[in-house]
Amino acid sequence: MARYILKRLLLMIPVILGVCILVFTIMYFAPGDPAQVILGGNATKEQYAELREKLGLNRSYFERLFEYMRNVFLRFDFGTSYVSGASVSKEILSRFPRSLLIAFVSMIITLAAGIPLGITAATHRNKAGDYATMLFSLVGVSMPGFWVGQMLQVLFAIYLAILPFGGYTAGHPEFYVLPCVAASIGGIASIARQTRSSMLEVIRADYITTARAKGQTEHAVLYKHALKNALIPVITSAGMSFGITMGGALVIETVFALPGLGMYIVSGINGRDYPVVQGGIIFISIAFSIVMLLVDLVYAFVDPRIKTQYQGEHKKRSKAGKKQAAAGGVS
Amino acid sequence: MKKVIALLLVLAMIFSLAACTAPAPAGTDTGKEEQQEAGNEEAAEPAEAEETGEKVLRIAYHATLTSLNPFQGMSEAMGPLGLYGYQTLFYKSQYVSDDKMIGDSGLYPGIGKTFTKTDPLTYDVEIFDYVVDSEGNKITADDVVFSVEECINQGNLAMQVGAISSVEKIDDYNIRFHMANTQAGAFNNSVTQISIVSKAAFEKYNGFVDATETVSTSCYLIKNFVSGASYEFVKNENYWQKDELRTMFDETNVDRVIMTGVVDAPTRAGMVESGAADWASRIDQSQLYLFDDTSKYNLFAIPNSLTYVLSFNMGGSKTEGGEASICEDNQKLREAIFTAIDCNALVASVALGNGAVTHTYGNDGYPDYLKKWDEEYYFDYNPDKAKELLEEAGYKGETITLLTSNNTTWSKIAEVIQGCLIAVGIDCKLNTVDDAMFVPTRNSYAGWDVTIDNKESGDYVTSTFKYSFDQDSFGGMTQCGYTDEDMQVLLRAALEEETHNAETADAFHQYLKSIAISRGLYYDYYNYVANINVKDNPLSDKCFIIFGHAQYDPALFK
Amino acid sequence: MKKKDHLTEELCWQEESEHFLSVKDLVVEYTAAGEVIHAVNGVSFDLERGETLGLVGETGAGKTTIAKSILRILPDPPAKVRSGEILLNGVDLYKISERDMRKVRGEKISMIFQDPMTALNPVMTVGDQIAEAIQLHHSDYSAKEVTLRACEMLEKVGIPASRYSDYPHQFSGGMKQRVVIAMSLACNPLLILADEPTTALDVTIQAQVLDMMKALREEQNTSMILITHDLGVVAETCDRVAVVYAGQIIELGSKEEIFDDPRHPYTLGLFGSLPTLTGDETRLHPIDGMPPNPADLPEGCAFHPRCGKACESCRMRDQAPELVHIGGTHYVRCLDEGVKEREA
Repeated sequence: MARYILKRLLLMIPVILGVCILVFTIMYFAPGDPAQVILGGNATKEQYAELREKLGLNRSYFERLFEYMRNVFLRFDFGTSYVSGASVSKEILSRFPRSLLIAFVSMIITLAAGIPLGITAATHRNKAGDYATMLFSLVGVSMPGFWVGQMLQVLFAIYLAILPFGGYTAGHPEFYVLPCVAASIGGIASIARQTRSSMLEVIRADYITTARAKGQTEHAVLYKHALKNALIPVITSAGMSFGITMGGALVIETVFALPGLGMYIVSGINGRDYPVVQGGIIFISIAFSIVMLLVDLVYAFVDPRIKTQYQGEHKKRSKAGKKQAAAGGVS
Repeated sequence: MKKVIALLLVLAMIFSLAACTAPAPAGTDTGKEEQQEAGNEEAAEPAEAEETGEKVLRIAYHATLTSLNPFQGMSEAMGPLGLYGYQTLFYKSQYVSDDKMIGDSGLYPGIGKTFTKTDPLTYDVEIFDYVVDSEGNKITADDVVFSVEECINQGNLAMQVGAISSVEKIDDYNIRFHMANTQAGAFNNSVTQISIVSKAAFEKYNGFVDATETVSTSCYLIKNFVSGASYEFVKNENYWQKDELRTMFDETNVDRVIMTGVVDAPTRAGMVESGAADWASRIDQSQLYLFDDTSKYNLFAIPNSLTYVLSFNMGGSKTEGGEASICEDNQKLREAIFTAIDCNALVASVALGNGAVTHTYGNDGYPDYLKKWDEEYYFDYNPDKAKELLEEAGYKGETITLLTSNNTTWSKIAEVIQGCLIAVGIDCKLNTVDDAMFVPTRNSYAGWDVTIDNKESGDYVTSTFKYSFDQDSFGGMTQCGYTDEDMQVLLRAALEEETHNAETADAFHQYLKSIAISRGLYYDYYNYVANINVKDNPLSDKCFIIFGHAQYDPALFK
Repeated sequence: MKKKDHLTEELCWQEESEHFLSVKDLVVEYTAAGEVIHAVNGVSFDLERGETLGLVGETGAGKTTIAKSILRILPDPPAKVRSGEILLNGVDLYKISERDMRKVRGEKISMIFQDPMTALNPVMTVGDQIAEAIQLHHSDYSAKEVTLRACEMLEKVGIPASRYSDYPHQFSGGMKQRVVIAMSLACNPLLILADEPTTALDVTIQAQVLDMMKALREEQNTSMILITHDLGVVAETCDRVAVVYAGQIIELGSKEEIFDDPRHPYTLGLFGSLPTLTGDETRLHPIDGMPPNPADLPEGCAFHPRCGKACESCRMRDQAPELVHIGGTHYVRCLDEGVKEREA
């Protein structure tokens, strides 16, 4: 198992390298000039040229790429923003936890609401319960995040005045409540559907009948036997959407004026602030890779067949070989 | 079945969105009032201030600050930072005045006590000799020279400080500025935009690039800076200036100001509505109706110093491998296009009535604006005349490409203009580019015949002319590629401090009008909304509230 | 305390009931997409303690449905028990509550399923799955006792107890089936329903498994209903045989009666289609025709379309034959007098 994890971590390196080069190249070729954005539209040609020189924008592609890669991988230095001079890595590290928190909490809400909905729909298939829960999730997925966010703001911040309208002050968790709820609504629908179809498949399985034949209660049959098997595709779905939200739920951040990673990167793109965009995207790709690794590990935890698969290649020849021999005789 | 439900829900959502943004009919606001009252009483912001009887003001500002670097590039977020984050040598504002002005220069003392112009290119500045920053560092001429040179070196404020050619120390409290040109307002402009910091503090805190607090001489210090989100101005208890010498720029009528950067306009409006903010900048015209209740809110509107203009591509033939735009040599065509545009329609539909037509690159908020320009002919809207001019121009239906950036306002302006042109028979196509691509596209003189733009300056109408028409700045031609020695002479006359007056300004204006290469369209208003207890709205030259000087009803603080 | 033992007491108390298990006129229908499928059409039989009954028939005859009905684990939306009684020690299993029925399942009656590959939960260890059965019915056992007992069961079926924590995918087919058997025997049931337990296994394993089951049954005097289509298996393990066709028992008797003296044309056909070791057979002799579509059963005798002895009356709706006693414990469902009376 440890070997598997190590292998995966090593595989991440070429991925990150690739992302780094790709992002750098895209930004390099993207039309637009940071100097013009910084100085505004009315500066003279000389002023633009001077700033471009100062920012090192006139060097060759390879020179700049090499310097950037060296800084990132050997010194872990993502550079400084062209616009404000602030350190990119410091900015990312201060903003990332906020986006991470939103992604994490909204994923928990999504799972906590979506899975039971899906189970209800599956167990009351084609009856009122099924239609009601599927209708509810259809509504959820049809409502765009910004609209939900604004409706929540109107309700909780203006009418009821129990939560802040937006913005962020360190150390006050109430600023996260509405953003997390707004971010989770769309996910609930897809998790519910996923769970429903997965459960329906699993419920028809033979081992479910076995469990019932043992005299197990319907409740335990659902939650102990069926659910664990049904969760595997749901885990994939949840992991992917977590990774995406973590990269910055941009719309949520805009509506709630929450300074997260999404807005940081977008403002960098609009301002042609190359270090910001590059640093942000590379960081997200690292974080995403780790999340995918964690998701795969969760699979192993949930499904022992996959765990065996991970341990498989190495052990097959030695240990399992012996086991097979022993087992083969008796069976 | 599911499709029907989905369709109904989409429609319901669209209607509810539309309903939320449309002005509500008069009778339905009662419910809202009650909730708004509740909102004001149970404001959700953390309440550290209330325990100590501190006077706290909460501001929702339309831009976010990402760094406390005093010499970072000019952006919207620099307004507050420039005013209160650090101190400059002198201050100015076209919106307010008091009796502490230095002569009639328009400048107020900051760190600088006074200045003398020894010759057209030289200014000697004397600073107070008791200036101390919040860490006890005494400010001397060395620090002033250091700050100016650091600002020039970093290069981000090249536009703002380009007029300064060098500085030198005369003695501990006197500095000599050598200017690069004698343009009117050059000294005032540059000297009010360079923050002065103590060299020791600057080096100790690595230029404040990653700092979360400021160390400065200002009457307010920044604390709790959260990049991209919020920060606080806290009254500097050890402010160095003597009480009797404080100007409106260093009064401290509030103890603490919580600045929240909120880029999304509806969110800003909502924060004032819910009581989370007491003052918000740049409220969208479409949301002004939310603040109709004059017992709860004050609405302040000031004319935007920014004018929307329309300029022709006069440089196509001058670029390598480029071709002349169809409008470049055809003045009648240009006049036809100008005459086809209904500026009142622009004001009504883009600014929602919240603006006014202008006849130049500016409005009467500028000190050198001439009233008579409004009364004269200025391509007055006349579709019939436009068609005549088209005929005279020999227009055969060729495509005219209108360049615009994709930001909301410009896009709307472009659409209205396109409509106006099509209505007189001109085949107008739009070339909409990404915001960051606008300047490069314009400067390439390719792919457009006429462009929308906006122009402003911090001081004079003539400065706005300079930014577009100073042929020395753009390699021998104007920003839009026009060359004309006579025009340059007139411009120089209007710009130079010695000769800057009503005649020279008018002369240039009339010449510009006569060649019809560019025209002003309209300007709109900046709208600020404040809690009723914020009684006035004195603005700095960057249109930020001079909150230390504003008047407040004590009810605001409890 | 009292309530829990009430059922056990009842079952024991009624030991003097006529038969250990009594199925009377069981009728089960499946409703799917508007169609009604007549899976079981009036099945009746009895079973005594320690006896093994073989249910023989082609696929789709309704054998599994009968078994699942006894345990009340038919999938409820499609399946419906229209009428009939199932008496275990005199207690009608369809009149007791679901809660009480759960006590019966796994403890009084347990089932062995056909396909060992899918009968076990892939994400639970085999030990835990056996332990679950024990835990459900002996909530007074401590966790340690439960584990111990589960290990005992593993050993009993020939699997080392060290494999308690292994997962189903780590076992071969035959071993999985043993685990299933261990699960079903864990609580010493009175009745086992074995649904083609060896069909998915190869012949050598088959023999081992059958022997093991036999030994375990003899230990506890367990009754068994063995569903199979393999007459060889029937011969090995069963005491009595019921031949099922189109949801009805068309012949019922002791093993000797059925094997030595088959009467019903279908039964004859079944035996006839078996290849013999002696004799020169070049082709197999299947029964002509196809089994009937349970959604659309023939009128009268369900077998008549394929029966060589069919006559007019066999086709008549109101003259469907009843199960008739023809000697000893031998019953047959046919209108033909010759079938009923013919001497072996």
